[in-house]
Amino acid sequence: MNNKFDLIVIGGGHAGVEAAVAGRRMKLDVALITLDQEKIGRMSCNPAVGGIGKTHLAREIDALGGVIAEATDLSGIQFKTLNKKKGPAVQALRAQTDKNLYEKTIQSFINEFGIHVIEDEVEDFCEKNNKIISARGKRGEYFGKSFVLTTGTFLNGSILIGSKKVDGGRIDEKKSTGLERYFLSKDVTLGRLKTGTPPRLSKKTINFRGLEEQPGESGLYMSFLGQKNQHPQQTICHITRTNPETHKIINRDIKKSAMYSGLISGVGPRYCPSIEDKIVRFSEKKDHQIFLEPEGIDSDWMYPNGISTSLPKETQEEYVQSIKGFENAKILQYGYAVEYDYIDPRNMSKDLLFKKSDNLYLAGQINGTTGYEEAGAQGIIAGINASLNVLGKEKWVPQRSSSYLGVLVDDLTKFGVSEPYRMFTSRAEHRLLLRQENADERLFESAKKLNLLSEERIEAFHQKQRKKQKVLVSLRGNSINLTGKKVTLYDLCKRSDFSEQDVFKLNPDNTSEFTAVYYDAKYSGYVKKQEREIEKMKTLDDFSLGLIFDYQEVVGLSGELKEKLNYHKPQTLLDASKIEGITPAALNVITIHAKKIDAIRS
Amino acid sequence: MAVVEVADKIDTIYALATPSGRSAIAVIRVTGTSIPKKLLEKLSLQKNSRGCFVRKIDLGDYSDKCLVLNFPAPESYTGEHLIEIHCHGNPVIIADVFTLLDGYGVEEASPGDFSKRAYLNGKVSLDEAESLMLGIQAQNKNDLISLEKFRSGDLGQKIFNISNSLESLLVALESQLDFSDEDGVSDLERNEIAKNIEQILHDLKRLLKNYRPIRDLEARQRAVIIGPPNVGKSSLFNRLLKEDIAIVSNTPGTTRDVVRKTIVMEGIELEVNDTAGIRNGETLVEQEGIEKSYKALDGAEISIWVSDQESNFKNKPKTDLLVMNKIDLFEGRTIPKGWIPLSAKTGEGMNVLVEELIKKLNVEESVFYTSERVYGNIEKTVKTLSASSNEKDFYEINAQNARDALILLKEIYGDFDNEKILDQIFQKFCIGK
Repeated sequence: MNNKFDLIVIGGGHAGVEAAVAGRRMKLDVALITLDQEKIGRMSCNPAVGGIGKTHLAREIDALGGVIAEATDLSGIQFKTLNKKKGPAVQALRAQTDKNLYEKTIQSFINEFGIHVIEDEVEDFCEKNNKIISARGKRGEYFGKSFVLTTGTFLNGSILIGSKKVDGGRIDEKKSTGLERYFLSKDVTLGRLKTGTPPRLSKKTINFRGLEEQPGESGLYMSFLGQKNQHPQQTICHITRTNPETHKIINRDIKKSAMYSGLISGVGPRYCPSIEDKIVRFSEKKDHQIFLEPEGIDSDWMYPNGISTSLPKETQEEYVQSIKGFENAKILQYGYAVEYDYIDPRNMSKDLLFKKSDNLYLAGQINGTTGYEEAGAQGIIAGINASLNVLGKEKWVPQRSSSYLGVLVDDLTKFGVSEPYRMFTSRAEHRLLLRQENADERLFESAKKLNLLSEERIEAFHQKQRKKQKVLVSLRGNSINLTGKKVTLYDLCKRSDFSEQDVFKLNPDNTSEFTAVYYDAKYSGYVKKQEREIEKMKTLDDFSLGLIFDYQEVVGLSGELKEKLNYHKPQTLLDASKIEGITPAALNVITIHAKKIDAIRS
Repeated sequence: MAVVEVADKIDTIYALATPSGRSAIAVIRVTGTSIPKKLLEKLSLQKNSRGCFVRKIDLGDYSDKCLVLNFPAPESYTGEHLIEIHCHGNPVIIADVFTLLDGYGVEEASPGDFSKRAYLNGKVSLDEAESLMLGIQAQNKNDLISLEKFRSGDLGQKIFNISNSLESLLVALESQLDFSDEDGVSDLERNEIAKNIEQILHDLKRLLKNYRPIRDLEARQRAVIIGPPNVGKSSLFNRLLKEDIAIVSNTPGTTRDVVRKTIVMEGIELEVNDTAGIRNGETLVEQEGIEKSYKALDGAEISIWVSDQESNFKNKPKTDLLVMNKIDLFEGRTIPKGWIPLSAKTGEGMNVLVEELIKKLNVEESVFYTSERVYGNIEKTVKTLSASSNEKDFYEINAQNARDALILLKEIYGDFDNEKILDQIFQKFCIGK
């Protein structure tokens, strides 16, 4: 068997898949090494893609030729727009997927792309002068020019239910070991994070009568290719709630939870607390909502979103059956917490290259993130850069100002993480400009330059642009009289006394892209502001700090910042601004100090 | 205390701390990280002996008995070694002390150098440095009182309170955006948010009203005396100054240029301008002077029209005060309504004029000063927060504006951290399905 490749991707989760696909789009010979090829693209947590902030990432991955959005369209069994009553910047398409269909779709993509899938467990790297030559597995050695490592929760993973702790990255699946030695040899300390899952219930044992129904919407697509990928049969979801009885049971056994018995050392996400956590921290709340998400159309598995837990099995049974609709529910798989190793992402540069290596890229949960979309986003960035590395080309770093991908890598590599990192729209300072609907526009030039786009995608993009152009020409070319002054429809978009509907009615030439163009116009002021900020950044770059020899002298900086600045010795203000923990106020103080030194010297 | 050491920089500097000219005592300050040993020997000072010493300083052909104060580092104004030489206030003596210092390689400081060093060496904070600057520029007692408030962090507390409200607003808005699908977050009505923003804007605007940036302080208030020729404008000017500055003569048209002088009335500084008499001037020089007179009125806080008769003057500009001068010459005549009768010559009626001037002067008791930087950021915050939207994007537009506004406010004293916003959301709401 051939064991020499251009790019080797280790791990077949959402990060690994996007990395491998990006490598193939860039015409490389790609191998994907995974523990079990049947589980490539598996959704270990809830069967859903998207969410506020997350959809933005999924659409950006799609804009770069990734597969998450297309697979979602092909396996989605319910689609819905979140934040429908709000503006386009915070709206997000969310899809329930058929878990089985999703992974099969991903696996067929992997197949179509001609990615070599190898089943093995990688235990070590063979390295020469910081350059990895090969990955050593239990069954063989694999040579590559560049490597992407996506261990997910499998690096030293342990599964916790009640007082039981077993090794594993997912329930009933082994963990991967060995690779931590590589990182320890590089003097990198591994951190520990945790996440949790709810018990999965048997659909046929649930009584849906009397539960609130949640219907989906039609005509919505995750991918910019839209109708090309038709959805399977659609379904509805249900909502139920916990009650005081549920809380009483959980409170009674709280000490038995792995979370509260001290068994878990890892930090869990604040936005995804276990039911134990919710009850302890918000004791005044009498009930908590549970979304019942079917894992598939024909599947008997139900995912009760909202009650993840690490309580013992008996308690899980008892509290589940105290919930309306679950009176006779059978648990198919108990809820569990999973703890795993991660590497402080500040060990990565913004192209996700592990700084202590020349050709190892890390993506996904190993970098301290959570979520399929976050994993996929890093996967595609790591895959692109690992491929560029093979091709001997300059790295590609997405920018905060133009994508959530940029926000993600910038946050991770600058601030590190203290809990599993999830994307929120509030993390993006240019939120109004980074909309799910314009991800293709924001990334088109990069994607094209990187050779990531098929003819089909390029055509779809141009078609949309033509529609937008038509509206834009019409808005600019038509005007109305307002108190004796001619005002173009384009300028009306910016006024608060005219609504989108008003302008729409006035505009003679409309297409389905009207809303997008309207908001482009409306937010154009924010584009200018953003440009000014980028300009300001350039000014920062021109400001030399070469004369500051010792930051201990700078009054008004915290001791911690002084140490960091002395350690980094930034050459310019821009360099200083990139140091973790540096605030605008700190930059101000540094600027003044530099100016004073200048003044004394001159 | 760390002391700045920059390669090649001028180390020891000196400056006259008292006004130049003749005075009983003049104070010359010398500071540096290492004041030349020879100079210390000359002044018979031990480097580390803090105290006050009487020294007869040899200035070549003569000597001056001086008081020398020694402040070893870091317990000094600049944080460096600092010496004060109190010599007699004769310009010749001062110049000779300067020459003496030059001889030891000590160089004359540029304006602000001493404060600069104090700032760099951590003796004063940025805020204090700003208020120090204000202290020197303060022009009346109210300025100084307001400075005290600035120094005691009164404004800082107010800004802190407002940014707290703004932060709560942002937390509320963000929870509506990132977590609207969460059960734990209840809907927040638009009018609730609008009311909130209204209140914050109101508080910010009140700050803008009650505080003034330094730039206003630099421009002191001005009163311009204007009127026909030979009605006693310069006499009035001099009476106000209580000293002879302008040329006073009986020939019309002698004050061709605008003469400026600053006076202090009841603790308020006022620049008084004397101008050339207005009429159709006969010479070109006079014409120029007249034009200058009109020009002097631009931007003046107070204008005073002076005349010695009520006759209608064709080119009379609109002025704040009308003064009927020379009442000592025309005793018993009726004074038209709205005119202040006075005699610049005898001083009769001057008290009325001064009273009127003070009334017109812009001195609000509640106005405090702050730096231009702080004021500018508050102004920008108001502007940022004022832009809103009535549409679907109401929440995110206001969130964006609140975020930008908060960053501006936080820049004044602290910093902005998005993690803190998320933190508060997670503390307040039960998030997580």
